[in-house]
Amino acid sequence: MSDSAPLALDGVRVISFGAFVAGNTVALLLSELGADVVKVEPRSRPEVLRMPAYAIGEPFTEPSGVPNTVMYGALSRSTRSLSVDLANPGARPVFHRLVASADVVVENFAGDTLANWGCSFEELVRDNPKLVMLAMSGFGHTGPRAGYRSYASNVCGYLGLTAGWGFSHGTLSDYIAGTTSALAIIAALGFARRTGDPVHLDVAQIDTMTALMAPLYLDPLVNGRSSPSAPNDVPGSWLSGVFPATGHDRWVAIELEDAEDWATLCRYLDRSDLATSDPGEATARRPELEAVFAAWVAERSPHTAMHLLQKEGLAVAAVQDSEDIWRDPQLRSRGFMVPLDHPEFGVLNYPRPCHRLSRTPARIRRTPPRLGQHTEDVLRDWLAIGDDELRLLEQANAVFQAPADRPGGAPPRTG
Amino acid sequence: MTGADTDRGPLDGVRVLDLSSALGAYCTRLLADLGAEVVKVEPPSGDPMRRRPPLRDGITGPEASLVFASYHANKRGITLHTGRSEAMDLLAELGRTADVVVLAPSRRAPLTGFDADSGLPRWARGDAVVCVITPFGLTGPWRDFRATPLISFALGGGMHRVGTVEGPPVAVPGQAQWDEAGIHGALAVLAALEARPRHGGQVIDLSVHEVAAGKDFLVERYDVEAMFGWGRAAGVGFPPTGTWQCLDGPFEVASHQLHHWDAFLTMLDHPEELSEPSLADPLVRRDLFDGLITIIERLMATRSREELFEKGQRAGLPCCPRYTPAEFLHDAQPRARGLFVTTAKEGLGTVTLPWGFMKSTPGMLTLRRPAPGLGEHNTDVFVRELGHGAGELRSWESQGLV
Repeated sequence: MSDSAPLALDGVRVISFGAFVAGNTVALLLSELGADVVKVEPRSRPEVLRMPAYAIGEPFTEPSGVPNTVMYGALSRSTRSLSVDLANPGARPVFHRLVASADVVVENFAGDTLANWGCSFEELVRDNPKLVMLAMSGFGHTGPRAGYRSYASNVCGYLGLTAGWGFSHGTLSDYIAGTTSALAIIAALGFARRTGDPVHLDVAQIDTMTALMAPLYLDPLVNGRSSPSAPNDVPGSWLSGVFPATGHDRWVAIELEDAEDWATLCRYLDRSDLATSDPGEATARRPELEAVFAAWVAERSPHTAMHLLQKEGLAVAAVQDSEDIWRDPQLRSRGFMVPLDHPEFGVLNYPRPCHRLSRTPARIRRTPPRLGQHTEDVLRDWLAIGDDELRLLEQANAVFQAPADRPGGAPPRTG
Repeated sequence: MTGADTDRGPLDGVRVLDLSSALGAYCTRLLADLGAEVVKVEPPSGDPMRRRPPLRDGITGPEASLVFASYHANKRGITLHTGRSEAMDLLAELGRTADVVVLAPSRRAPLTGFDADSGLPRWARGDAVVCVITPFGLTGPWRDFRATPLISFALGGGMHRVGTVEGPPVAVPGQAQWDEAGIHGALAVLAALEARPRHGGQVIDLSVHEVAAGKDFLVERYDVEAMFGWGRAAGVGFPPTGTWQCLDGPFEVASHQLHHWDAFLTMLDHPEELSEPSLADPLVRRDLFDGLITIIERLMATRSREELFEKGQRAGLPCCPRYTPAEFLHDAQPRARGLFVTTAKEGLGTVTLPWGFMKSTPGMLTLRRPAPGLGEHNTDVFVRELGHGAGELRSWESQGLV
């Protein structure tokens, strides 16, 4: 990783109130692509993911007394932390100036929080007539269920994904909505430049997930019937499944997409008698081929099974657990692990951003900040605020600067 | 066609050449919805997705797949045997018109003129944004491994944590893992287009495997805790968090914050059985787990899901019916949000498909056309835009090149 390579979104300024996994994901993606993303957190109401309930390992406390967790650190890395308390009317004038100098505001508040602070879209557009503002939510800001509350698991349940899958997921829709939002923001920046008008984005988890999970709805929409498939059964494939390998909770996944794959596996397992180019025949013989394959897998480790059959050109994989991911030779060969030293967490590995643009690669910009670590920096960089004004804001508890004599903010060490 | 927000989306005027497969289909669909002019290139025998079920009942042939109709709506379609060296000249002509090229090369679908080491197709413009989406990336020991969405979900760490405690782990339906990478691909393309005036063209090496492994704190959590506490768990939280059987089906409650208990009681009209104030403490509820479950089961069984949904949400409780996909389609919210659009496509007829991955004011999404028929825009592109004669096109067709 080169710290000197230019960044794609260099010069874009983002103010983020985005909370939880979905909201923080937007901030993370935009900042690693090069935007200057400022996460706003008042000292009295820190981000919810800082709370000990979300701790990975032990919870931490920053010198200011604010709690923190590795989970929040993993989502706040690369951003800058600005502590401004909009519940305090004394903070609002400086916030409006920040909006005037920014390009994007991100929020996923439940309810009328921003309007109560005089910071609705309509009000902020007066500060910045080309503002792009993202309002993220579960159910959207229009329709009879506008404003309904949800965790990602509820979105899964409501959409029919839990029923179709058999299982729920605690973050899938958070990441999908977060990534889609980052995409929508970049699109809207160009749109606002072209039209000269502000853009108010209404990204709902249910909308992004309905689009993503389109295959789930096609049969009911068009053929008027439900077509639940058995677990790990891929419609249209000749054979698919997950089989136990040697070891505790170790598994191998396989998918034979067509006749050629089917013939290859039959030959490899010395069962050419099961070979056929007719899909109907294959369906009839599938239980037998699965039984032979299951017996073969049962005597092998998942990675051995994967390597042997990938050599034959088959789509076979170890079902990797988090230890496998941590050791993964493919990920490591591409420099996936990026160690960062953090004053509370110590040295931990973080995943390298996946956006490998040849000239403007995304990169981890900085170690996860403490709450309020960059308050003075941001106010000076964006507004050229002087010492006197800063002191007044601090005395009014409008802003909070984390103690400067503490470590942190060191540039990432590259692995 | 109804459903479009605008005639000129943010990517109006951007030309995208889509040489990808099922991997990349969602990426280019997003770009098309944002207003780009996407040309999808298929082999003369048709994209394999044209055979993917579900098919429309009573229809056979290359237009029958609803999956293809959904993923390729809003794109134009041409055919070209891109693995053959004779395709080189035509690829060069197509490449000259393209601001963005999206590729998903594999051993099974080789692409002539593509240099796997640089990720650059020789025929692309120097200032083009080339997005190469592959299961593992262009480098590394597994770069030639084969994958499907199920395989990507298995290797990427997502699958191991889904399923019953005893197993097997279970794949997410559809091709969600690939499509999630598709969103990242579209995001990277937009970032590269934003940087293009300053930095020109570039190649994006997007690995599905890195998308999958780079989320859900997989790496950070292993660093902190190794494999401690990592089984497939039966569930999180304690009553009233969980799924409950109501009069007309299952209903989910997610009570993860202190004030949610009050909201839950309000939803149920403050039942006598749950009036003990100490129950507001989640730790007390954890200790009374089994007894509480019996009480709550009895209370929920007499209510309808819609009643609970409205009352619970009004009280601020994250909750919802656990719908089947078909039930969701009939809920008022997706209808009010306009999440489906009806289009007529030759060879398929009139169908209703998902539409509209986001909303905005002013609207930014463009809906131009249904998914292309096989080779539907060959004349459009090869003759009208590239200036070839109709006779040339016929001769390529007879050679099996187009």
